[in-house]
Amino acid sequence: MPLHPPERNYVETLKEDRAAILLADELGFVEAFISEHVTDFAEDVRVARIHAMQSYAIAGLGVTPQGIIPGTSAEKLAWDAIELALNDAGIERSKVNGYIYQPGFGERTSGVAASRAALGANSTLQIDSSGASGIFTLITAIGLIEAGTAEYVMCVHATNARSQAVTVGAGGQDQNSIFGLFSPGAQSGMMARGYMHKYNTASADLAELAVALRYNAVPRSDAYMFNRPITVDDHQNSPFIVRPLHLFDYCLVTDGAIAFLVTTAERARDLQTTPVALLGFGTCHEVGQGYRRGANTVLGPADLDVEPARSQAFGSAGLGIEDIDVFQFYDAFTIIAALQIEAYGLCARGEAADWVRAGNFRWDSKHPCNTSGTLHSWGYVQGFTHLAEGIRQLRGEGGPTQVPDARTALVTNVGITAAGLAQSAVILSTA
Amino acid sequence: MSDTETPAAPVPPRRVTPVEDQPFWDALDTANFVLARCACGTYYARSQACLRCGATASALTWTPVSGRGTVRTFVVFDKPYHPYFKERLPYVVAVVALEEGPEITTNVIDADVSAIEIGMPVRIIISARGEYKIHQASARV
Repeated sequence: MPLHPPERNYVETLKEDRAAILLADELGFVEAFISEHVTDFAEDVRVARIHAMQSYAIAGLGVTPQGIIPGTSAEKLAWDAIELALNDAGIERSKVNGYIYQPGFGERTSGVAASRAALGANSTLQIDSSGASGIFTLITAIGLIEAGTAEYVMCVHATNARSQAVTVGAGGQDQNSIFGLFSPGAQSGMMARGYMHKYNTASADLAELAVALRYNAVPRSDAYMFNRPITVDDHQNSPFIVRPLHLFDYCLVTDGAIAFLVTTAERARDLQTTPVALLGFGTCHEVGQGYRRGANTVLGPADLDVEPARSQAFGSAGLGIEDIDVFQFYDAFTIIAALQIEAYGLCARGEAADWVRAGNFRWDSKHPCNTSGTLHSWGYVQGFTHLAEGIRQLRGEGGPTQVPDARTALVTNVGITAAGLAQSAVILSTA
Repeated sequence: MSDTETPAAPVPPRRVTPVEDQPFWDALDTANFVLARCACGTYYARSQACLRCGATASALTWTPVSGRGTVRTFVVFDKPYHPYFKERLPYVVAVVALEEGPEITTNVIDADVSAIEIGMPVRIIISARGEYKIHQASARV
């Protein structure tokens, strides 16, 4: 008779084992034999996979200046970031034998930077899941190494959308265009309208997020919005772009690039930089945010569903939200950040603004989030922005907004894609 | 002659019709509003495998429906992202929940933008946009 069937709680079954042994002892038995019979069905095989994933590390980081950088190209920015990451890691360029890039808005990169930098890449892959791509490149890098095709993988995103004067979503030609529905901002506006209606919140509530994001960037000389604080009134007085969203509900569009190097934890120890460990990943691609309901549109309902991204990431890491020292939530729009703060369990649904008002979110608060000002106030390297700041915090390189003793970081990415809302999450820690 | 020529009026964006959903648009062109109904009774606004019973999309039948629905959420465009809409600002794009279940993206018309509310009833009508027929949600139910 199996005493430990998979549906039983092991704490209970172990208690029963103990009781059975005690009973045997009382009855006068002098020996007890406990056998173990493990089946694939009963065993959590993910444990082995988690172990594999946790043996990887981020072993190099390259961050270019962010802002308006005319006279360059996206490919050149990518190359600059690669050189910075190579230098940070102290690795010979020819040893980097995998290359993964996200093509951005503006000029779309094509992997040429890897050849200009003379990397020894056996594979050059493109990942495009919009804002969710940063963490997806990290996961894919592990896949390349796990498959035995690479030992060191460079992951890069570069954009020169600002100098190219790109209006994201303008002049598009998709199914929604004939109705005049353009831009991720409009999709986010749909979410914001539903959120305001359901929870009786207002634009001035979302403004709290914009103000706190800016607060975090103000001390940071590397941030585009360095030394330029804003108030709730500034947010409310900024023009509407797509109602109900104001300009300050939108993130920046800037030029810049970020690169990071992925390798095994063991190899990372031989490089010169402080490695950052990976404790858990999670993803979800809620194709159904719109399509599950049969809508020919991509938008989330008022309540953003982050499952299974949240449970996978925290389950793998064996941690809870209370164990996280610093958070980097994707913030393409204020509403996206607000919905995630709630969905990841930092406060109740509809209460993100109250939570920020109560003194959370700012870099020097109890729950420091988006400590560089990220997409809203630092720079627009999509999901790489949040990874870079998570890495910096754990390496103690957050400068004036460094969170003391930061040992764990939650980083999230959200992509508004043609096939639904893509989300990815990773929990990083000091090695 | 050139000084008497008037600039060509901007044309709307092309109507993008995925080949999988051609019957939907063909029906619109003949003034019918249809949804794809699975044999299990679930409706979709596009061709897809059934999320409820798992049937392939070939089990769907394009069926005329009521066109009655409510506004689930909406945005108001104040800035033009395309020349055609420049003189049509402000305008509303909404997600309308149809009474058969599916939600569709469309404009809400026949009401001032300030009068649009989540939950308000609307009725699908078929209207012309440039050379194309499209479905729009009228606030006059």
